[in-house]
Amino acid sequence: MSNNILEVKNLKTSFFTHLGEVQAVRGISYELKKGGILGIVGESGSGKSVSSLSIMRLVDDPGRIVEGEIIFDGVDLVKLSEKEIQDYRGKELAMIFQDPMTSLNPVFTIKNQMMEVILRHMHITKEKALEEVNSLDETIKEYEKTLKDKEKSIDKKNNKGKASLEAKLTKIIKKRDKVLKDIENGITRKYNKAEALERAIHYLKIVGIPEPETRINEYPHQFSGGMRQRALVAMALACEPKLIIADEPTTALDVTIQAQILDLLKKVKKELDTTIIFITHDLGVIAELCQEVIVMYGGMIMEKGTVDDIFYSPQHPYTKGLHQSVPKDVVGQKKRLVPITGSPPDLLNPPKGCPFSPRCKYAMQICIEEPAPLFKISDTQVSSCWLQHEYSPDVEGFKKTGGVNNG
Amino acid sequence: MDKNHILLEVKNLKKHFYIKHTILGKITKTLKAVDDISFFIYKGETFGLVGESGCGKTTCGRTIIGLYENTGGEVYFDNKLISVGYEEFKLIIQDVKDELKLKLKDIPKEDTAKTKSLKDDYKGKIRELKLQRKSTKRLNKSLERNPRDIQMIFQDPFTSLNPRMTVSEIISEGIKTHKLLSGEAIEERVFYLLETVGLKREHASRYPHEFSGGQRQRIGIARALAMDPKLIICDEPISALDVSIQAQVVNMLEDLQEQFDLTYLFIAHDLSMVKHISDRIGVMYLGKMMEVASSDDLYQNPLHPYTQSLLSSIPLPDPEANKQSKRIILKGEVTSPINPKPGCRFAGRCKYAQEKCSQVDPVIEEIKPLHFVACHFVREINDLK
Amino acid sequence: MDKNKFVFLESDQKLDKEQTRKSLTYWHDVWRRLKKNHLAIVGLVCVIIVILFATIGPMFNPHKYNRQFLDYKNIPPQLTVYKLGDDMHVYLSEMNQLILVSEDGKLLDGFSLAEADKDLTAKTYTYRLFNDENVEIAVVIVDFSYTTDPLKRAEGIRYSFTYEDVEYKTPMDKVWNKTFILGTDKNGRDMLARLMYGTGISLVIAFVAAVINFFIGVIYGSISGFFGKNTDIIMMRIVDIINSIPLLLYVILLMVVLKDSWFEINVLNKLFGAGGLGTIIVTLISVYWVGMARLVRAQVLSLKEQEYVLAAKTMGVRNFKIIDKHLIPNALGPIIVTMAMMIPTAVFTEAFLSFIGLGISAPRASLGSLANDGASFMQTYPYQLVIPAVTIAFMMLAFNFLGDGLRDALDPRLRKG
Repeated sequence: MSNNILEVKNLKTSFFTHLGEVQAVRGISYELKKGGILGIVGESGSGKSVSSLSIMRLVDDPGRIVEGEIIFDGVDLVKLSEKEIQDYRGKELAMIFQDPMTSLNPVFTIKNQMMEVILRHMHITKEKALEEVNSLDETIKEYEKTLKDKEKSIDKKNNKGKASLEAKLTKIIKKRDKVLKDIENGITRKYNKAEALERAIHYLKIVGIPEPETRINEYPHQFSGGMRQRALVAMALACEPKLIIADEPTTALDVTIQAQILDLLKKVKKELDTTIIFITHDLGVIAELCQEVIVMYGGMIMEKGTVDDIFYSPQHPYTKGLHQSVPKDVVGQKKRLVPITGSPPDLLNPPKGCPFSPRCKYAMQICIEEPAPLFKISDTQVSSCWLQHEYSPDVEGFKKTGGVNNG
Repeated sequence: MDKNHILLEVKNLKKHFYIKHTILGKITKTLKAVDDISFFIYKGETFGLVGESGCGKTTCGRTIIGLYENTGGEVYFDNKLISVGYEEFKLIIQDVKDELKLKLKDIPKEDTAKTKSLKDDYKGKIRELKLQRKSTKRLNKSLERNPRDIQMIFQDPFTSLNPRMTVSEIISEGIKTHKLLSGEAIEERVFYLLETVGLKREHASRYPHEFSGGQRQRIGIARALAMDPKLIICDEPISALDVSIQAQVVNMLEDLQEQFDLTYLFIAHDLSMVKHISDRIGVMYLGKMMEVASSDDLYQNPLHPYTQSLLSSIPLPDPEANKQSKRIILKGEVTSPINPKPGCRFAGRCKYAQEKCSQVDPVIEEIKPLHFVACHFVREINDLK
Repeated sequence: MDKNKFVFLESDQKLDKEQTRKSLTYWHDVWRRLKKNHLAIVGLVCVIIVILFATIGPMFNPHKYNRQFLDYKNIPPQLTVYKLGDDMHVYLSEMNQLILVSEDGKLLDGFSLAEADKDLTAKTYTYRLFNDENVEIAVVIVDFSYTTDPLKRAEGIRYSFTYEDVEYKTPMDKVWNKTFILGTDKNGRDMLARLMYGTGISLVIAFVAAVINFFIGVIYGSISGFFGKNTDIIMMRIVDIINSIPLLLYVILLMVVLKDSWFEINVLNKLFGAGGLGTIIVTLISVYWVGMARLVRAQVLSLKEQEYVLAAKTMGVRNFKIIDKHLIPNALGPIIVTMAMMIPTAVFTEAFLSFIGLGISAPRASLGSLANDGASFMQTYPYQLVIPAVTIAFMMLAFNFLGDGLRDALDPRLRKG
């Protein structure tokens, strides 16, 4: 097995509305290695949120995953039944949403909501289970000892409780054997309430909520925006998921609070070694947080590479255009921004070729006829632009490759 | 930019919302959205107003344009007073009455002479304040403002256009209200404006929902331009737009400024865009102006601790620069502007805060030429003389 | 791969540079969503049927609602016909009127029964049929002793007919009444004609009340909501006071006060005709505008914070123009829903008032007064109560289905992007 935690293959998700099929995601493929933060950047309607909702299998009617595979840890999530996927959500996959107010239920306390997830998914570790077996063993020994004592004694009065004691003993032995057998099969018991509470508090502490023991009993409205987002992060972390999807978690927050949350995510990643997919439209956040970046547009992947690839040698005209649209922090003479003309494509009736071709400075005949495959630029970078094709005219700033990256 | 001509001047502007009062009308809860801020805008310049959500920047813009009546302070447009607030006297009178009650408590009841003299003293004071309130109110009523001078561009392109009106009706509404043109001239004007903002003539008969966000924002700009304004208040005009569209709108605003000799008050929370478009910037925090400076000066040399941390919080679209820059991550969050405590509003989150900060309101003063800061210890923090 | 395709395009060769979304207008969208709701369409069709029934129905019905047929009182829709002789068919009504009918159920003529022909000891009545020239053409003897005579009781019938010395005990058939499809009432008036007329009156009351409510409610509510502050406080306290009185009590009091008052005689009767129609409309209006006013106020309160309203204010557009151009058009959806729901409520209230005798007076009729008339003969002539009752139920259901559908279609909360 490869060390990819997630492989998305030719994923297509559409929404079937009364106007027709809105093709939100149009065949995207990528893989994600364990650990690290993948950033997905794109504008509204680029399919970045829908693609991640598809991974969580949270696309609701009238939306549907039309085609493709999502291999998570060796399992194709698309093929799972609704019941099976529920075991994954929260446990293996967790999501942090944009609006911290609407993603917490206002009528339950933070404690209720966190414990619910933990109680549903968390099993105690093998070591702890073995420990418990040991303590069971000790009680068994104790019982046996008292039983022996009683047999030895001649006094008949003392023999009275013998039968009940024996029954208790067999029960405990049965229990121990069952637990041992379960441990062999890799099953341990679920958390009990006290343990769940302890765990919830532990994670609230990790995300930096002061006095978690008292604040856990509060309702979401008693938390401020940044605190709510922290609580959501804690909830997502509580079951130690292998993958966390954060869908614009800082967009609704102020810059100073955003800085706090980004700091927190960095810390979490470092300490817990979780894999994070971070979805945003803000190039600055991407540059700050991520190691790998996918640029999406019109439901397709335009470019993929490391942060340095995407920021210092972008190979797709769209990525370049995005960089030029954002003011660079230069002092002195005002430099005019170079906007991308036109507006994003209508996914109800997307362009046949490259989705960016109607707005692209370098559009060629081939661009409006056929979408470009992902051309391999380097070991880490791929770009979906016909300019990378060997036949295309030379343009400064764009590399050419011969090969097509199929992987 | 014409440095000899101040187009808009705001002096001690206050906007308070009295959100709770007793049955007898005593105000118990006051939301001080804008609390005593002063600044001015030169003709032809772009003045940026930044701050986090809830800092009162939008309220400030709306008060200037007259959507809200100001509680206190004066607004001058082209050296002419257009609005003066009188509501604040209510609170002042209430405070004076409270003061009297406190003082009366200290005096023993037997001392009737002293009580009486004190009461008379305060009665005179209150009467004077009431007279002042009346005269200010009369003054405010007599002031005239030309709605054509100041126009506004709104944040949300989806709610700023009436969904039941065609584009042409939306743009021409102001022209028709003031009977600036008639008949075919209106139509011609609408076409001209649509083309100015990069739309087509055919669009005039369509409804707003047929357009994308960027196009709607252009319609909103055309509506503001229709009145031939001198000053346009841009209330977060780009924050609801996509990155690639933001640049289009910003460029267009710059072009229009040149073409029509416009002055902008640009309100936003996106500091990098504000920095790009503005000549001078004011930083607000919880209803107070913290720092005003030219945009280059502010970015290179922020003097107020809040500005410093705000600037360092912006993630730059440049991974290397991010690694090098040192973040000043603020603790805690913005507190509520309801019944604010005395002293500097930022004191609770400021790492330089001292006792004085939570007792005395800092006054905004000119530290360097055209660089204003409201902080008691600005010189000490920045090693200035 | 064709090398020629790798040539840069001119800007006009690129596909649609600036796309504008061509989408449905608001009302198209509403209609589309309404169409999807089958129950609402059923409701709409039923409402149209009811309206057609009340408007053009009377044109196809030969009888007028106030014409009395004294020979044919309380004739039900279904007749038990006896065949006497070779070609004579008769029907004996519950009021012991003998009627000559055709074989398929048309009422032809009534037999007459003179006091002298009633033999009370033998319990036989002798009915005589006269033609136009007053010549006796048929004699039928009806024997009612089957219910009293212990010897005859075993046969289990109530009466028998004797015609030309032959006794007929079993009815030929049950046939539908072709002359009066829904029968007649106690005064011999055609039930169908009265039902059509009553439905029409009920609809007129409901529609007029709803439309006037619409205007009062919209004007009151938008002024209260838009100007706010003290205006709002005073106007809404008035609404609260009206709202705090139990509706029905208030309506009944008003009806009693208005009945035969100067106002009714000189104003209402001149506008709406005699019979209390105007009084009921005035009563319904004075109660139901409150709900509309509240709704419009709530709508205006939320809409006036919309940025397009602020934009209009900054341009110096006058207040009433803002209400007229910006606020009301955008609040129209919920207003229409409320109006649609108000109609069945008004129909029902009117029916209730008429039922307890406070509503429309004879000879005019509404569904409620029809039900009231029918209720007194519920045991003997159940059709006289069932017919108006079913009609009321049918209308209520139809209007409610339509109203629910409209709410789903117009409710902006369910509207996506």
